[in-house]
Amino acid sequence: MSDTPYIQLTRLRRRRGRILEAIGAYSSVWLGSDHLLSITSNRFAEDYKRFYFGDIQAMAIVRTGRRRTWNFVLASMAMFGLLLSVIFLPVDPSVSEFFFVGIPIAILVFNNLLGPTCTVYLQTAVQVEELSSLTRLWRAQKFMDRIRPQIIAAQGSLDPEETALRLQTTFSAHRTSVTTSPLNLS
Amino acid sequence: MSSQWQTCRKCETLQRVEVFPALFRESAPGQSGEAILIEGESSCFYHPEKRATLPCQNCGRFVCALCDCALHGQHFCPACLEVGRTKGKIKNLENHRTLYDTIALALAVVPIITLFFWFATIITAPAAFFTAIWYWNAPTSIVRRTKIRYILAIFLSVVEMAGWFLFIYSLVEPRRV
Repeated sequence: MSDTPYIQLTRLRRRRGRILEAIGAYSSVWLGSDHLLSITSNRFAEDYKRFYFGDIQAMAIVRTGRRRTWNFVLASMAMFGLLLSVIFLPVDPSVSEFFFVGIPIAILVFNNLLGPTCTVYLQTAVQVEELSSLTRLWRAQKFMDRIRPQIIAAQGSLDPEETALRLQTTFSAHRTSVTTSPLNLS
Repeated sequence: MSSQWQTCRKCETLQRVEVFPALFRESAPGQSGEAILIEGESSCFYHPEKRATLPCQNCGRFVCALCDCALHGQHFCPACLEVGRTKGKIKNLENHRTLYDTIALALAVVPIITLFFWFATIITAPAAFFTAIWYWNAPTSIVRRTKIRYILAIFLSVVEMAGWFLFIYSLVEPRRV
């Protein structure tokens, strides 16, 4: 039985990454009382990572070109299927067209209905974690709208001007602190 | 802070970054523990020469500032923290669980749905039954989950075992007659 009440934020989705790591690995994100729980599962075991709202430093949504890539692949498959069904296959055209043209086109339409693709990163003081289960922009924005109030409740909020000033100060300090050579000889 | 979509100057991808106050928080400096100056002062269990700052909330041993492992408002000694992590006693440190209910169900179902390996149920059905019974009280997923997988695994494995029993019985019985 469950130990803590968690609310599911994203469904279990195939994890991206290196081929051997990604095979059979799924990822999902759950909302706890004071943290986000990221679950990586291979169906028979689960690994957990907790991100406490008070520790989250930044979140980034990066637009990716996966939708365009899939559009190209699916359109190519549909064209190839059309060519096969019309010219080469000695079967009933309606059946072959359904399999070789209809299915890729249906997936192509669905892929575009889901909207642009993205990758979401979450940063804490010790790590930058990719949330693999968030792959579509609308879903990522919905996710951000859901957890933003929780993070603000845990940490407070900053004015845009104050944030810009602090970012400038922090990063200029970083820049000046790394101007020495590897042996600190300069 | 909510930000607008911007293009990265380096990789030219469109991105939106939200920054929170934790980014600017200075991390607290580590403490080494203070030496005992007055005789009779309580000392750290692990460092007798250091002054104890507080007791471990699990075992009650006094620990110094160096040995104090703070975890979201709770304070543990290093040994309790390690035991809590490995044995899953501190829930917030638990980072892995084996899903025995799914394993039991897979043992009962997979040989059937693969069709070609249905005969493997002579081994997998008792294995599924055993797994479901043995791990009935083992914790399942940390998020919501019921015992339905265990129940299904037991039901299916019993049906499979009964099928095998009837099959073997039907082979043996005519010879007796």
